[in-house]
Amino acid sequence: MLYFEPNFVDEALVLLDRFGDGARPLAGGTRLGFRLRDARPDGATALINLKRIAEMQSVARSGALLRIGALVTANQLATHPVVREHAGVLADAARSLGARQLRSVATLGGNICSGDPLSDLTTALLACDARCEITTLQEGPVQVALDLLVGKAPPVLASGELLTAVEIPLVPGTRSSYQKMSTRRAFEFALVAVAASARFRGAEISEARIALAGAGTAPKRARAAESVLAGKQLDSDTITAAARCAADSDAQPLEDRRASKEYRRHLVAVLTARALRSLAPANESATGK
Amino acid sequence: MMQPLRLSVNGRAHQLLVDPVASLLSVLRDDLQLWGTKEGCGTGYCGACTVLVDGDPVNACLLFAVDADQREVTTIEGLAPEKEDLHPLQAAFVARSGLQCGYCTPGVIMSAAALLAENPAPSSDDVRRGLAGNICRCTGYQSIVESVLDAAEQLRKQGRAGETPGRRGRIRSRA
Repeated sequence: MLYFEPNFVDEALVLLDRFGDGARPLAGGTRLGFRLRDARPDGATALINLKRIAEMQSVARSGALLRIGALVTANQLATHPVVREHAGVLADAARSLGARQLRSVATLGGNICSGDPLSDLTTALLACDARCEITTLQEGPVQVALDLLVGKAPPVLASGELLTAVEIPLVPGTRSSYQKMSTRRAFEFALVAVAASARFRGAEISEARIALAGAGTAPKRARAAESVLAGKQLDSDTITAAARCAADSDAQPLEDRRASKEYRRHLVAVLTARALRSLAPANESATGK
Repeated sequence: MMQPLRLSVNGRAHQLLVDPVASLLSVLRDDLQLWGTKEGCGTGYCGACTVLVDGDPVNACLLFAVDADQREVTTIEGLAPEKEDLHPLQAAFVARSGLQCGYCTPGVIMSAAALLAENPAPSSDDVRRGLAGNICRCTGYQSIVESVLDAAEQLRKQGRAGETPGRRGRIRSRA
């Protein structure tokens, strides 16, 4: 197996194109490492270490857009002041991922491309209207709504494709929250997780986004619950109605040895309510930012 | 296709040729004879192999050795400054029985060192959260938490709150 350290996206694309299905792009390597070190051959012909590519490692806000390079780590997402301020749900989700040591190396792009049905980052990004920038040698960069990638049977990317960045539209007056339920503080995927983001106009929600993990075969938006919230004030009746809607209409919870369908449905209601309560403006009479 | 690797480990510079697929753990143990860092699971799920890379705690079993190029790695052997017998964390673990079999201990201590560098006055809950990436089968964690809290207090008393762990800035060639 050959080894490469491209310095630019273009170099990486040439390599991905050249080696096709034998190419193994290396980001954090939290999965690729032990796969490649396994005695069984994997068909890999080229290990392409992406981490010298500076342009995939930045977090930058320009106007109403937050652009996050695909190689940004979970720890960087959890601690970056721009992410915490403008996409709090993503920072919270990143903080809940794996364990501290994993967060040092696990990347945004690697996590999305793993196609994990309970991915914290993917769930949070769905509540942020995230778009993925996918680049190929032939086409150049193309924006793809994250919704379209989620729920695809793996592999998430086709041979020759590189996920270079994720973009999130920023809207003033947005508040967001991530609520994750698992039986341990670290390592475990969620039993259920809820990512909620709401744009406020004064005390009213103009638009809400709710994403659920553990309520289907992949993270998904809770669109029925979202429509319950649109144009409403966030009081306890609205919260209860939205949480019920998320649990009863939007969720098709998984049943497995970790939890029953019924328990997951119950968790959807509880965590949706918790997420929404945490979005309520602290000062009831505030007109909002 | 061996790759050149230049890195500093515990304040010493090394130049090696490594298999690009090799983990940092295998290089530390097999190439550098630093056996303090242990392999617990090989998949990043136990934290026994925790080392610091530029101050950041990582699972050495997962990290590709080539990704430590030009970086400063700190292992359990490098925690105490040269002149000191034991780092306050190590001393506290001895005093408070923060270990039994000791297999998870280097990883726990390196994680704790990173935690205290970021949060010099943690609560007991902060410690439990901060060490959630390290599994121990022997102690039941309570003595680990007490050891870390003790060490935090010692470091604060010594005016070393928030210091970066490990030997730094004393890079000298291996020859």
